[in-house]
This record gives sequence, structure tokens and C-alpha cells, in this order.
Amino acid sequence: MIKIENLSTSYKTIHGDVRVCNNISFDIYENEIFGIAGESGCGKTTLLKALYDLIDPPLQIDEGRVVLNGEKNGEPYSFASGNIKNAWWNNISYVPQAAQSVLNPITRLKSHFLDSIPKERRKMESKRETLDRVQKYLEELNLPPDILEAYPFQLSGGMRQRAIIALATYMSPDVILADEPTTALDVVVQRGILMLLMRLQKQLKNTLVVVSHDMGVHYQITDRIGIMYSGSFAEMGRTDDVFRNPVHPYTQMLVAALPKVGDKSAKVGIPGRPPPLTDPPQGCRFAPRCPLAKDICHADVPAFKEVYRDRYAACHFIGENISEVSLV
Amino acid sequence: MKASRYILIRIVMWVLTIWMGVTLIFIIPRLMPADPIQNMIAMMEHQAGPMPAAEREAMVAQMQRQFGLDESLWNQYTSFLLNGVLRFDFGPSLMNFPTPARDIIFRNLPYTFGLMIVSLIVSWTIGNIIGLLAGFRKDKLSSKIMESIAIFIYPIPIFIIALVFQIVLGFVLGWLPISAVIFGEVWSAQWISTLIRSAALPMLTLVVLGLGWWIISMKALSMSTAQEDFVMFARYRGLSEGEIGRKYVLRNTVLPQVTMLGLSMGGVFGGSVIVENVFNFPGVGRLMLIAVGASDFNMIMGGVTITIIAVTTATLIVDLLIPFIDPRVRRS
Amino acid sequence: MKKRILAILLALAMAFSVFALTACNGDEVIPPDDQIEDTTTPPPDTNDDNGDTEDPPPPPPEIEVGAMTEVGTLRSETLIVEYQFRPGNPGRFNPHMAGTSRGTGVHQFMWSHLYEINTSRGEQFPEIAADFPTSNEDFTVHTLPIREGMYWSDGMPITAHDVAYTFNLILTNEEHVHHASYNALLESVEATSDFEVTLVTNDPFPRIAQRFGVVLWGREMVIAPKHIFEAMENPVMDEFSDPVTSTAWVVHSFDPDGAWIRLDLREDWERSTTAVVMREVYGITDPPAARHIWMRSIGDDTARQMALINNEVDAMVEFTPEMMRFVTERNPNIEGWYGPYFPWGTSDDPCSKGLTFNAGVAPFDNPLMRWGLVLAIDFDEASMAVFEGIGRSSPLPFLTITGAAQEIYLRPMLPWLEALTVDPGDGGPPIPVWDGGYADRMAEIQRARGIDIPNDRATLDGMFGLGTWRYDPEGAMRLFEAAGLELRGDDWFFEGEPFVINMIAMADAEVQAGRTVLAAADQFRKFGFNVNVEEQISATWIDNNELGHFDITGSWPTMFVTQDIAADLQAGGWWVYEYPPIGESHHPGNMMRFGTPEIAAIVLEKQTIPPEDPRTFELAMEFLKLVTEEMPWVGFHGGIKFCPINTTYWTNWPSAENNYDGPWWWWSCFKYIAWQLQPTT
Repeated sequence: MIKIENLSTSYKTIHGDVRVCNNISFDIYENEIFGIAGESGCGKTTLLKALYDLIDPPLQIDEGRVVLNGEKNGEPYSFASGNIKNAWWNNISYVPQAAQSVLNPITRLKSHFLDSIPKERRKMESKRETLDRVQKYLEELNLPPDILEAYPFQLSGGMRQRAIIALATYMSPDVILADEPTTALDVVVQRGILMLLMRLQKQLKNTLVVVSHDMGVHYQITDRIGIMYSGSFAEMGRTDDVFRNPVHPYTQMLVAALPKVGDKSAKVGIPGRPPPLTDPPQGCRFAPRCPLAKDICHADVPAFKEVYRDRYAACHFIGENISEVSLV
Repeated sequence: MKASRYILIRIVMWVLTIWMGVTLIFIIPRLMPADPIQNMIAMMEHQAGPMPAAEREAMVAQMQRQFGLDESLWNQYTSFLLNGVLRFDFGPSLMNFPTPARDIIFRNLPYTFGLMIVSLIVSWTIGNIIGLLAGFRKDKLSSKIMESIAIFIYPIPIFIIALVFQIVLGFVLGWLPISAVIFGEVWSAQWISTLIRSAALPMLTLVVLGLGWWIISMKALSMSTAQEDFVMFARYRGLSEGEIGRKYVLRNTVLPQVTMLGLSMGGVFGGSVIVENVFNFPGVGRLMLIAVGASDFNMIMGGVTITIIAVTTATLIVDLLIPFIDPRVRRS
Repeated sequence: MKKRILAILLALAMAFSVFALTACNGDEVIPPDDQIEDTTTPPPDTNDDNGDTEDPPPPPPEIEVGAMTEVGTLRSETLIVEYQFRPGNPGRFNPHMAGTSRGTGVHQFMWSHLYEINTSRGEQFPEIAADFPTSNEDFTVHTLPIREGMYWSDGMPITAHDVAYTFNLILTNEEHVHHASYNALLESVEATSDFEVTLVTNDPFPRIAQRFGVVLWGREMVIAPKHIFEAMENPVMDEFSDPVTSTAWVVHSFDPDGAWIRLDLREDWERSTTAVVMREVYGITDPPAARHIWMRSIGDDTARQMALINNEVDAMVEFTPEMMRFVTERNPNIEGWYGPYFPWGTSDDPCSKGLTFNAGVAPFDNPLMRWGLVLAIDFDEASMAVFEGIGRSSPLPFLTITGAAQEIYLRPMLPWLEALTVDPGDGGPPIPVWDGGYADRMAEIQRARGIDIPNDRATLDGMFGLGTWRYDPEGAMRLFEAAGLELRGDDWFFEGEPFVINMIAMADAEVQAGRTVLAAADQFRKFGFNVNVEEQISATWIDNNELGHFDITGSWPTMFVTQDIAADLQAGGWWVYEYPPIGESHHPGNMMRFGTPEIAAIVLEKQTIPPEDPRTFELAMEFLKLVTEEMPWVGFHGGIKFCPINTTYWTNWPSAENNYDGPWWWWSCFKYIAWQLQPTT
């Protein structure tokens, strides 16, 4: 569905270019929920933006591109970086972070829906017809029927997020990008949103890309997961596999830090912090914090490659010499 | 709070503000050392020759009676409140005795009113359009140019703008009159044509002056609105820039601008003293300048009272109308 | 939303095109090329002006034939004149109503008086009266003949009955401003026939014509139409806003805000008082070419200059020499009294300007102190500071040295002035005070600035005067000490206290008087005094003058209109010599709070002598010598007025070369000047 080819992006600053995504290549498939995980500042939101082609100065694509391929109504289509804008909302949509303020405070919800319909479609049916359709759609999402007449400030946080998801999905796009969809919501509401997203994806059989720093979210709904560290992927693979059997030291430490029901042992955090993107270290970027780091780690950047079936990782000690590297 | 309570509070504030302003304008001229009656007598003697002492005293007493200045301060005050504020009866103008001050003020008021309201609306409309575009498309060269022009115009003092137009358009090119001449039976074709010609330069001056402020304020508003998340999201959804500009940015920014417009309307009545003076336009602003120079108490009080009432009433109306425009206020 | 913006833009576009269309209407400045008429004469090559010889003269302005004014008249038939000041109550044309603004277009063209005056000759002539009055031996009964053949603008004849009615209106109506003063003068007034009026005065009064006719700019004795006024409820309170006039013009329309007034020539103009006077006195029977008079108020000085340069006005009221220079450089048709050249202005305004000393306040009650201050002034410098040296010097108290006054009074006084000295009484020699070299020195100063001043004595005397007071700092020092002032180090003390001279001037009008005070203040500071100058708005300044709150003020208790100056002295209060204390109004009397019984006796005696009697001239000279010795008021210049005219549309204005009248567009005499102007088209 989406091919990412050697994508490198950076920010132009007065101190020079800051590389945010570093030579990333991978694929996202149809009919799957793909999660992008990682610490704050690792570049996942930027990557998502690149997928949606939201590259505005000072952000720029240095190399590579994103290609979106699909089929709508029997017609195949292909959009690449620079062109994806034409696919917006129709074929690919975006649910942004911090859903509180993405709705126009002084217009009613119905206007938002009417606005989002592309001009060509607007001519094809009357407003009344559109609203009726939308109304039905909203009911399926368990939103009260009079919500269209409401102003955004009249909705609770959870209802707003649902409304936004409704906005993003009712055109049945082939790809939905969700940036931190559950941040700032309480746990109960979180679950509802996540369930909604899963249900929608099953219904539409489309691709859902979820970016979140919350590993719990990934565990609950994603089919595959990619773990980013400091601008590139550390590991990628089927979610339950990765959680059960992480191969990259970073992933192992992340997973080890997650609390489990019944596990009363003390959790250990990962010491240190990610390197500054303005001054990245030579070699593997995780090496300064990696307990297994050797000289080669500090010298060469490990390649991101398939280490075994459907599992990719970037580490010098995987693949050639498969041994369980255990941590205390 | 309930609607009726909101309205009631606003109305009480309106009355209080008028009362305080009117009281101040009553007290202040009386604190000045100049005595208007002595001034008038001095002017008369200057023109007609000295008067014998007894005659002079009789005239002073008579004038004090006529102007009500022989009564106690409290009586003067209450009669001012009753007659002046409620019925706009300010007594005779001292410099145009015995014509009532109110007649002269109301004769000049429509000219000021027309000039200022039209200029205000024109400059508001044009300024907001330019400001919206400037703030919304802030990276485009055209936006930067427009902002630079606005910043350049804004600090220029009004009399310089007025003089520049007067010199260039009136003197050098001769397209419009240097000094206002309004001729003909009121509402006749000739009257309308001379009025338009006489009002053109003052209006141009006021529009250019006001533009600067509206452009700058609207640009700031629209620029900050353009950064808002909902504008971003609208863009993600594929809305065209034009649609975003109109439905998302404009609608949100126009509210504070409408409030400002409403508040500016009240200031209309003060008139632009300088513009009217430079172009000799027969408005209230010019009248006030002359009245102050002649220490014409009644005229000054009349003009200022009307201005106070106009401004506070405009504010009241704006306060009462805002809930209809901005749904967020309505809710609270 | 888009539709709305579009609609607004469309409306704006329509409004703009309306502006553009009306702007192309009624335009009289931009000429189409094929209709240019060059009617101006280039300035003569001699007598080059202010030294800007590098710039070529501006092209003569072009006029468009058939252009209309904004008030709907043909420009070529319209005389456009500036108001002296805007009337506070436009539409009030009743001269007998309190507060009616005169001097603003109202009295020059609408009202007639018994007698009028030609100020350049200094002679009155009869207007509604047919001749000067004949009186009995003791000047108490006076017979006035009235002209025949004059009619009001509504067709009714003007007769002695109108004259008598007007007098009696004032005498009987208590609300009339002049009720008390007329009753003090007159016992009765009667029309003894259709064209004869008899006045009986309470006391001997040989100056009927001067008192009840115009001697300056106007008179309260404006003859009112009896048939209209007696029908009014109270003639003194009726606006008379649709007036019937006696002169050749009627009011067509006026601006309710007072910005302008348009007067048109009457159809039956030959039956007006003006036409009769033009025929009988001037020998002119043709109608005036100025069929319309448009008097207007232009605005502030910038707008006034622009309007004049653009030929939108023909005559303006008062300019400064800087403004004159500016406008004459830009439009060769603009002229002052001396044409478009230095000094531009006339020095014949009857009120000379100078310094009034307060004789009610020590040490200014001492003539030695006053003379000291006079001698401390370097008049050459002060004169440059006032109007760049422009103006005839007029040094005597009371007497304005107009051209006529200079010949009648000053020249015969010269031997006496040259011998005049002031003695400080300190044992040293008396101090001579006269300086006859001012004119020559000032001519040199101007020549050094590049201005061409002719050499002949007559021109120099006329331009700069016969002389002024000496600049003698040492003499002044002796006088100050004799008056009781002490110099301790650099500071002056009087009666033990630091000495400050407090001077006040009017801020908002009469530029010459204000600048005179400021120039004098600078001179006094240069001498070493501590001077405090305050410029006050007219109402405050007038008040302070009356109450005596000043040491020196810039007022002008000076005059010369009637040749024997008797009436002027009487009106100026020179017969008073006892004054109330400072802080109380000085009525009657003069601002200097000055007088002696001797001077008073002279003034009062003159009132009883008819103006033709040579004794009155002798008394006048005695008076002048007495007050000069006392020096309660020192004169700087004669009344200088810069009243620019524009010859683009009208010529034959009064000027130094064509001195048929004074350049007073805001005085009653203007009706006669307007009649004689010639159109250029």
C-alpha cells in the first residue's frame, strides 16, 4: 500500500540541517494496522507527516520518497511524495494529535462534514442528502443523532475524538494515519477509541497507521509494529512476536520496562537519553546506552535488514550470531 | 448568567458611565480661571467701544441670569442633567448668542456623522480584507508588501496625511476643492454634488488613516488564527486555501473586528477635529475647536455630552449584539 | 461570504466612479489647451524682487473661459473675497441685533450709512446724507439733508423717515446695545420732511458726521428700512435673515455653517445708494463688472495660500510677509500694496503697533523709566525681527503715522523732535532722543539682502518713515538709575526686589502686535533685564489689559482717521486722568492708565471746536508734544497690512501707485472699490 524508499528528512535550522529521519525504507501493507512506536523526539511524527506529504519548510525531504499505491472503484492509482496532496481525504486521511482544538470553534459539526467533501462531489448531491448520509454514519459510530448541530465546545473530549475519527473515515479512505489518537484521554475513553478504530479498520479493510509513544496502545490494536530510535527503525515485525521475542536491545529494554499483571518485580528504566539529533554519534545511535555495545557499534551504523522471517532489525549482533542476549 | 440579568447589568453600566462623564464635563470648565461672561463682555467692548461701569455691571448680571450662571452650583448641575442630558437643551451658545447651542450642534452633526461613518466602514472593510490576506498568506511577497505599507502609514500623523492629500489632489492637480464649499438647496442635485466633492478629501484622509490600524490588527489576528490547529486540520482535509480563508480564518477573526467597529462607531461623533479643520468641513469637530477657543461653555458641554452619550450607547449596543454573533459568549 | 465581498467591492467601484465623474465637473484650474487666454502682463524688469534671480519666473496662470464657481456663477463675473473672520451667526443680517457679526461680508455690501470715508484721502463723503450737516451757532441743532432717488431692494424709496426711524429705534429700545450712549448724546431726532432730518444734541457737538458716519470700517448707525422694521415684533431681536438691502447687492444664498455668502447685483442697481454715490461722488455711471460677490472663509494659512495661488480667491485679508513672499514667487499675478515686490504691504492701517506701558504700576509710572526702555531698544534690529524691516516707523504715542498723518503732523514737528531731550536729573547732560537716520539705514540693510530700494527721498520717507527713537544704552542706564533701579552685578533690582518685566501679547490674531512685543522683549533681555513674556488668547489678553495685569502690553491705543484727531482722542479715553486700582476695570479711560489734567483739558477743548477751525490743529500739536514728553506708549511701526490680491480675473485694485482707496476688503469702503474693479476677461 505504502512504500517508503530511502526516505531522509531534515529540518533546516540556523545551526545547520538537523536530520530527523535517516534513510528509512520499509513497506506498509493493505488491510493492516501498523504501529510506529518510540520515545518522544525519535522522529515518528515526522515520519507520519512524510507519509501524508505534510513536508513544509523548514522541514524538507533530502532524499527518497513515499509512494502510495492503491485501487479505488476498480481504478488503480499511485501518488508519490509531492503529489499525495491530491489523495487527501479521499484515499488517505490524517487524524492529528491533540484533537481538542482541531475543530473550528465557531461552526457547527455539520459544516465540518460538508467542508470536507471535495468540490466535485459537492455538486453531485445536495446538502440535505449528504447530511443524511453522515448522520447514519455517525449513528453507526455510536454518536448521538443531534451531534451535527452541536458546536465543538459542547462536546466532551471523547465525543470530539470520535467525531474527528468520523470526519476522517466517512469517505472510506484506503489509509488512515492516526497521530497519538488517545493522548490526553482517560483510560476508559481510550479503550473506546481504540475499539472504534479497530472496528472501523475491520469494516473498511483499509490500512491504519498508528503513531504512539504508549506501548500499551500498540499492544492492543496493532498487527505490525515498527520501533523507531533517533531517526531510524530499530526493529520491525508482527506485534505479538516483537513483544514476546524482541531482538534489538532497545526493544528488549522497552518491553522489559512494561508492567504486567501479576508481575511484582521492580522495573528498570533505560539509562541515559537519546542523542541530540544535531550532533548524532558515529555508528549505531543506541550504542552509547546499549549494555552490549562493542567497538564496531561505535564505528559502523548497523543496517536495517531482515533478521528472520518478517522480522527486521538494525543491530550488529543479530542475524549472524543469533543468541539470546539476555539482560539482567 | 441569565440573559435578562446580562442586559440589566449592561444598562446600569451605561447609565453610570454617562452620568460620570457628564458630571466631569460639568465640573471641569468651571475649574478653569477664564470666566466666559467676562470674556464676552471684553469682546463686545473690543468691537463696540468701552461701556460705562454701571452699564457693564447691568450687562454682566443680565447675562448671568440668561445663562443661568447666577444660580447655585447644585441648581446649575441639576438643570444641566435634566435639560442638557435628557433633552439636549444646553442653553444658548455664548459665541452665537442667542442661538441655542443644540441647534448649531445638530446642524453640524449630520455632516460629521456621514463623513465618519462612511470612512469608518470603508476603511474597516478594505483594511480587513487586506489584513486577512496579509496574515493568512504571510509568506507571499504581496502580503509582506501590504504589511509594510500599513506599518508605514499607521504612524503618520493625521494632519500630515490630510495636508498631503490637500496639496496633491487639491492644489497641484486641482481635482478636488482645497476648502469645503457646499452649495445649493439641501438634497438638490447641486448640493449633493458639492457635498461629495467637499467630503472626498476628508474621507480619503480618514480612510487612509484608519486603514493602517485595521490592516495591522486584522493581520495579527489572521496570522495567529492561521496557525491554529483547526486551520491545519482543515488543510489536511483538502479544503482549498480560499475556503479556509473565508470559513475558518475570516469567521474567527471578524468577531473581534466587529466589536472594534462597534466601539469605533461611538467615536464618530467626536468627529475628526483635525481633518475637519484642515478642509474647513462643517462638522462637529470643527465646531468644538472653535467653541474651546471662544470659551463657549454651553457649546463645549453640549458637544462633549453628545459624544459621551454616543460612545457609551454604541458600546452598549455592541455588548448587547455580541452574543448573537459569537456563540461562545451566548453560552456563558 | 464570497458573494458578500464581491458585492462590497462592486459598491466601492461604483462609489469611486461617482467621485471621478463629479471631480471632472466645475473645474476651473486645468485648462484645455485650445482655450488658454494669456491675460497677464509680465512683471517689469526694473525693481527686481527679493534676490531669487536664478529661478525663471513661473508661467502666468491660465484661465478657462466659461468656468463656473462652486456657487453656480460665472467665474469671470464673480469677485471672490476672503472673510475677515467667519460669522458666528450666519443668516443674521440685522445690524441692530446684539452680537451680529459685522466685518464679514455683511456690512460691506449690504448696509449703507449716513457718511462714508475714503481712507487714502482721509476724507469723509456723504452716502445716504446728501451733504454734511449744517449746525446752529452752538452746535446743538443739526440739519441733515438726505439724498433723493435711492430705493431699497424691494422697491420702496429711502427717505429721511428711515433715518429718523433708525435713530429713534436706538433711542427708545432699551435692548439696543447703544441705547444708553445715544441717549447721552442726543436729545431728539426728527424727519422734518421727506429728505431732511433734524438732530438735537444734549451738548454742543460739532462732529456729527464723524460720530454717526463711517470713519474706519463701519458704524452702528446703519440706516434700517422703516417699513419692514416697524412691522417686526422686536426689531432688536429679529434675525432679518431674508434681508432687504439699500446697496447695489442682495443676498443670494449663504452657507448655514458660515463658510460663505453669495451676493448678486440687484436688477434695479441704479436705484441703490451705491450707484447714486458712484455717480455723484466718483462720476461713474456704468454698472460694476462684478455682478456676483462671493465672500468666503478658506481655512488655515496653508489652505489660504494654496487657494490664492490657484486663483480661487481674488483678495485676501491678512498675510505675513513670509506668506507674501511664498505666494508671489509662485503666481506672478499676486500682488500686495507695492505690487509683487518688497515690501508688499501698506503702512496705512490706522492703528500703529508698539508697547503700552502700565502707568499704574511702579516703576512704569515714572516717565524716566519709560524713556529708559525706549532708548534701550535698537530699533533697526527690532524692526528686522518684526516684519524683516518692512513698515513705516511710527514713534509717537497715540498718533498713527499714516501717509497723511506723516505730512500733517510729523514733518512740522521735526525741528522740535530733533531738539527734544530727556534729563535724568543726575547732573549729566540731557539726553537727545530723536534719530532721523532710520530710513536710510534700513534701505541699506535691505539692499544688502539683495532687495532693490529706490533712492528718492519721497519713496524712502513713505516706506520707512521720517525717523525713530535713538538707540542709546548709556543714556538708558542713566535713566533707569534715576528711576530707582539698581544694578547689582548682572541683575536688576527695584525697591530691594529682583526686577522682572512682565509683558503680555495677543496670541491668536494681529501678528504684528505680537511680534512687536516679542522683538521688544528680546531687546530688553539683550540689555540685561529679566523679561517674562506671555502670549494669551484674545479673550484673556483683553481682560488683562482692562484690569491692568501687565507691565507692558502689546495693545494699540492709536489712531489716525480724522485729520484733526479730536474724535479719536475722545474715543480713546485720553481725557481721563484718574484710574481705579489695578484689578479693577479702567472704564472709561485708556489701557496705559495714563493722563494729566493738562492733557485732559486739551482733549476736552478740542471736542467743542469744529474740525475746520485751525485752533484744533494747534491743540493737536500741543497734545502730541505733551504725550511725547511723557511717553506712556512707544510706537514701532504704522499699521502694516499685507492684503494680497490676485490680478488673474480682476484688475485696477488700489495700490501704492493707484492709491484711490485703502486696501481694506473687509471695511465698508470695499463696495466702492468693488465697483471700480475691471475684469480681465
